Amino acid sequence: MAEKPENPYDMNSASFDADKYLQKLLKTCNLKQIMDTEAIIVKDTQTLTSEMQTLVYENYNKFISATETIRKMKTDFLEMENEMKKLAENMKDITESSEQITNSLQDTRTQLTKLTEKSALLKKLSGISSLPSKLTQLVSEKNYTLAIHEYSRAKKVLELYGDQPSFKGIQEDCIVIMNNLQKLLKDDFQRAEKKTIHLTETGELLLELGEKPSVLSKEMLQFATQRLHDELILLGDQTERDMIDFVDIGIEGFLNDLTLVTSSFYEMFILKHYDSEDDSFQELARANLNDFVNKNMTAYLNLVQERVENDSGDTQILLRALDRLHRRLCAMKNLGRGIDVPRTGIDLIIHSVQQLCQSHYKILKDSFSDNLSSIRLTLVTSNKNDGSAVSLNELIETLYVNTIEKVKGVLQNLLVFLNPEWSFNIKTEHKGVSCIEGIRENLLVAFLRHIASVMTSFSDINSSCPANLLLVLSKVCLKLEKGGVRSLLNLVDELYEIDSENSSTLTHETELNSEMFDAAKILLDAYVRVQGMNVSQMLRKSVETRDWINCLEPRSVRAVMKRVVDELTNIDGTLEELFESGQMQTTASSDSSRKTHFSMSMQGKQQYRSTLSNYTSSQTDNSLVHRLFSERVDIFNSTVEFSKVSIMSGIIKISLKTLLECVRLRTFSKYGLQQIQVDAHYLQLNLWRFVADENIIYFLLDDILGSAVLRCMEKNPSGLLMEPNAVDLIVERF
Amino acid sequence: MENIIYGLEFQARSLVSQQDAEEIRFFIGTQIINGKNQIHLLEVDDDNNKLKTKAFSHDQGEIWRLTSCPTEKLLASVYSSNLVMRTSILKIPDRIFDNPEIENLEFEDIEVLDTESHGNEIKTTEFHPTNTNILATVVDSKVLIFNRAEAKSTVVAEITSKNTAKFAGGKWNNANQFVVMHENGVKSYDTRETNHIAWEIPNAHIQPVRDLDVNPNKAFTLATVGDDCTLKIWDIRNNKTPVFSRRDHQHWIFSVSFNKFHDQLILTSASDGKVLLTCAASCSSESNISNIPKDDESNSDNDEFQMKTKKSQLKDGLLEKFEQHEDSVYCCEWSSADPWIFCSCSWDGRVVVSKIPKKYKYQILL
Repeated sequence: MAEKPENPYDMNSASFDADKYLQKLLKTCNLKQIMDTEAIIVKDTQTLTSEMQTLVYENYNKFISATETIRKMKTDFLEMENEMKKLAENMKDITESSEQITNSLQDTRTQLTKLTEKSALLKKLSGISSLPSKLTQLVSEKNYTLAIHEYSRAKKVLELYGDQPSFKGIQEDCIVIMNNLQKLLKDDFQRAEKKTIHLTETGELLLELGEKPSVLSKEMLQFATQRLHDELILLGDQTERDMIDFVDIGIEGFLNDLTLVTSSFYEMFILKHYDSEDDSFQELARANLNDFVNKNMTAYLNLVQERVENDSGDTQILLRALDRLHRRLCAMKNLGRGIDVPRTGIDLIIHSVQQLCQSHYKILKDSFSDNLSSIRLTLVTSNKNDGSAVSLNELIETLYVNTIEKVKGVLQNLLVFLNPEWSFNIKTEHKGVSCIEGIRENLLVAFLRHIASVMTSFSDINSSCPANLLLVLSKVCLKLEKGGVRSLLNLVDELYEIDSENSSTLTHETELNSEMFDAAKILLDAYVRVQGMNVSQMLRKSVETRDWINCLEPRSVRAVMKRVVDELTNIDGTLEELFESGQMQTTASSDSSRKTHFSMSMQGKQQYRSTLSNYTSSQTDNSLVHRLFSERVDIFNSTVEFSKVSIMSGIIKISLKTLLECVRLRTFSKYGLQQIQVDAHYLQLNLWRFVADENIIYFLLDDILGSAVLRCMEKNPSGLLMEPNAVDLIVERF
Repeated sequence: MENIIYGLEFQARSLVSQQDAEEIRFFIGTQIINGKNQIHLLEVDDDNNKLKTKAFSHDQGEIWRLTSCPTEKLLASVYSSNLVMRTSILKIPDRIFDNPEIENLEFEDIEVLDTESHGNEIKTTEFHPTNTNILATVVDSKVLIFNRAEAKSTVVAEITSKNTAKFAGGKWNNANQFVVMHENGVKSYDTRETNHIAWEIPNAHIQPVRDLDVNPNKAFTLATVGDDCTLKIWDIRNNKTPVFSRRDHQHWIFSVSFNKFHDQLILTSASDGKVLLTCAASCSSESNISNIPKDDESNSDNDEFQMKTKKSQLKDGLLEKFEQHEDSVYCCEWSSADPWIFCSCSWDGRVVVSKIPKKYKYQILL
């Protein structure tokens, strides 16, 4: 109501203004209404008054009962106060007694705590005292891990109370046990027949046992080396096995072991870090490991190499073995950081290639020398029976083809190294390339040079061999020069893809060809010399043994001349088979040979004019003067060529020169001189057909007869010569 | 001067250098079967490149061989006349060139050795290296030792078997040994005993041996040549293999001679008309000065090249070919007085006095 604007007309409001209300009433209301309002107000006032009376009454009652209650309460509180006092006293008592109890219990409690502690300690101690037995048990159960775990737990305590006698015993026991264990582990460690994991485990256990990593690592390598060494020795004894077995055993035994040790070592020492060791330890360990691996690999590879060197078995097997080894070594590549294992493997293979080359070279040499001796034998035996029994062409072909084929075979054989199925590829290595080139240079070229020098050696001063052998060899050399060398070089270049054309180091074909040609030449010269000597020998003996003073008038050509001509015919026949006849220089006609020696009238400037016609009319010493003016024929200055006539000329020149020398050493009677005349004429008739330039024959025969004249003891010897017709007659009759 | 050529105009088979002389003197004996034979003397005037020549008459017969005495001015000749062979000692007069008018000289003294009873075919008469009074003569299959002081002769070697050839000649190896050529080999007889073979090289060549020479400066070293066109040098302590061998001639080698002053130089002459100078430094007395590797393939071109590129010792092998002769060269001899001059003589009577080319000379001397 208060909030409401003061309405002075509201009776219920505090601001009720009775006058205003009355005035308002009076003004607004009629009497009736005023009368009613008065009646209502009177009524209301009455109700209100009665109500107020009841209210006061009621409140009064209440007040009285309240007073009564308070009075009652007053007494109650007093009682309560006493009670409370009592309670306080009781509480006090209780506190006191409780304090008393607490005090009395305090000691016991501390004692109890102590006891509990002691009991725990005792428990521990009992653990420690039983530790030795426990450890022993664990060790015997091979539960090393737990044992070490136990020990390491007890270790500190033991160290702490180690000086106590009782503990000392335990500690010592433990130490003994643990030392034993350590030993045991070490043995284990050293044996290492187990897997890597075991090894690592054992190693780690040992490390836990306080082994110094540096010492342990050293020991590990040391013992591993020892073991591997033993294995190598064992491996070295496996001589009767073939190469593949050998390599397999090596891979399974030695290489596996090596791998195992290496990987364990790597895990154990290089990957982990140890506080107890210097910073450099890992580096050191790595270096040691590399050293170890290198050493052992080298030892092993050396063994393999040795084995390869002594291996005489199949190349295929050898290669397969090496291939296997190579694969394994490749697999090992990831193993040791810092060493290039497969590289040494490749070296090994290259080495074996080289070695194989060498052995093949030797085989080639041997087979060539075998071929040579068999041909020599054939020639020697056939010579005994019949000179023309064997065809030299056949022999030449045999030797040539055998040699070429053998070389080809070897070249094919060696090709297996380049087989693409192998895991290795030699050609990628620089060494390998030079090794392949070695096949060309050290095998093929060396062999060709070897055979050239071997063949040439047959012409040596101190060698004596059948003349036909020289011929065969010369021809073989020539054949090689003509195509054999080229075909072989081409073959090797093709097979091994060698670019010899553009290489400055490789031997060129022309070089070898010229060597071959030289050899052929030397051999041919030797042939000429040997045959010349053979014929010479016949002539020399015949002149030396004959009595030229007391001989009879010549009736016939001496038999030795016929033999000489036969021999030369024989040689000619042999040569015909092998060489082209070559160029006849003069237009030698049978005409000229028909004529007698002295009546020959040569045509052309190159022809040598017989000086003998002068003998009849001039003094002997004049013939010397004459010779000074006559054209000099140099007998020995022309070289022998690869043609029949050239070879024959060489032989005949030597033979006739011998006859000349023999004649000059003798003294002749008239008949002796005439005999020489007859012989010379016979030779002249028979030899011209063998040679390129018959003038040489005429010259030598003239010289022979001239010398015979000079050596004739009669007066005016040239006058004693027979009439040409008579000589003709005798020769024709022969 | 490279060489001087002198023509005898007669056949000649014998040539010797006078050993006991200061001058460079060569004697050449003619071989005329019916006629007057001569021994020509060639004295080389090295300074003026001239020859002084004289001829001694040798009427006894055609001369097969001449030898010279190392200790006195004596020659020994082997000659034949009417199929009879003899050997005699000729004394060289002192003053040869005093009277230029006289062309034909005579020897001061001629002593014919008594060989008649021993055989006809005399090969050679060799003066003892030190004792003038001792000579060895090879007759048929015998070696006779003459002692002029005692006027007696002894047969120290004789081959009696009938089927073998006669001795082909011989030389003193040392004071007590005489080496003879017999067929393909050589035998050395101890002259103090009869038929005592000190050593032999049975098959020195594959054909008969024609000549031999003893290295004057190196003991046990012997050179042999033969019909197999081969020159071989032997250390006689090993008679199986020669220490040096070359085959550069194309026909029989008739003569071999060590240079007395530089015994690595060896002269050979052969019926191919050539005289060859070979170097065998590896087995010479000078070999210890430098060890020269043997080079079998060395030819003269190569050698020249080697010489130009480096001043080295001479290499083993053929050094030089002398081709001034047109006929067989039966003799070649070093001068006894000048180490660089030698003489060779061919059958047609051509005598060539040659000098060692300067390049070799310098190489040996420097």
